[in-house]
Amino acid sequence: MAKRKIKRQPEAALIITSLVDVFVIVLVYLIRSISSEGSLMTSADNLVLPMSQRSKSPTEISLTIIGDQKHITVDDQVLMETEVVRKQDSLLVKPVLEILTKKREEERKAEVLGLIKEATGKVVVQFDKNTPYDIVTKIMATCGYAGYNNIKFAVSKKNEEG
Amino acid sequence: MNLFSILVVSVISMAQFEKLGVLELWLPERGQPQANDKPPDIDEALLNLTVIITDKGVTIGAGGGFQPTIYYQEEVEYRSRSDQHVFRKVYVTGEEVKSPTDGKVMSQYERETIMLNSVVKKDSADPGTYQYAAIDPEGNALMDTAGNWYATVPPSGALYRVVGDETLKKMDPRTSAFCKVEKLSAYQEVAKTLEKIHLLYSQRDPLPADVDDVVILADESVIYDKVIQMMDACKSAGFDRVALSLIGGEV
Repeated sequence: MAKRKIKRQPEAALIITSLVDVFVIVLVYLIRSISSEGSLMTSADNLVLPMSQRSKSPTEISLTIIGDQKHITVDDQVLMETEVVRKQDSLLVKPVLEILTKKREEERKAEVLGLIKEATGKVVVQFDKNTPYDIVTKIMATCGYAGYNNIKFAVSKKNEEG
Repeated sequence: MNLFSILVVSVISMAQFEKLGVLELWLPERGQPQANDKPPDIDEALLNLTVIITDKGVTIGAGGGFQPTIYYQEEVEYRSRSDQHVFRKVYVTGEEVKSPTDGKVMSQYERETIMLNSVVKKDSADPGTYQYAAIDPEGNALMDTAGNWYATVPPSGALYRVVGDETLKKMDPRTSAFCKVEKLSAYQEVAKTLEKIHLLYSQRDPLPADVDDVVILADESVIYDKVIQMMDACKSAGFDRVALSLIGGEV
């Protein structure tokens, strides 16, 4: 029986130069596109923010309130239906007030303990652009009553390209 | 691999990133009232500027009286959720809007863009006529040196400016090619009027304490987008401290 010679194929070397080039380009592009300022605040899923030309870059945020088509959410905690807020007569939204008062108290305690520099009472509200003003005013009044007097509206920056 | 590199770069360059920003709201400080507190003296020098938004127009009021109402017609661009069909319709309060493709009644959250087209009226009964102006690629209406809107695209070499920027610019052929004549937005008209008021009051001696303040007064049924656009108009006119209020209430 003749011995079959197995021809060894030369090992294919992986050329990573092009791959590295691609990743460098992608990395540079993403660093240029996504500034560190923009990454501090993220837009909620179920809403369309209004556009604005005169907005400022978001800074450090202690609390976010989201009012989409269905729910009012405070720091990722769904509290109630938006429609319930619209229908109520009172300017103060009770479930929102309870949680905001608690959070403001925690913020003040953290300031006393030196955990944070200052209890600024900053709150960012994200509302769908088609939300009736009635709902916005009720949430704003509730924020003010709970001690959050530094209210900012989240918007999409107009004429900005990535 | 080279093809792949080109593909990746081109796909990324086509991607759009949404940039978020914040609009700051100015809240006047309110102390706790004391039993023996006297009511504060009324300062005659204060401007007390207020922008009132209703479903028909925008009225600017101050300590001395009211400006003529800036009337608008609301035009809404809808995007149907069922088939993504986009169509425009003049908004009529209380009217049911149906998609022309499947007849589905559109919800208020299917409004994609809300345009307030400035309308010239003799009085509230007059249907009025649209105002047109030359618009630059950024969406700003162009004004001549006298502060009037350009009704046609300014020729090359003509001087122009936009609200919020006092610098006069010279029209060049490249910019001119991207400008177009469109219906004038009521926000631009309000911003122009507010800019004149701000300029007038900032030249007063002594300077009024509320020279940079404005209160936006809106009805509860007004859409949030209108309030934000009006805040933008106020800020572009030089009023940095914008407060909000509700008709018949206080925020």
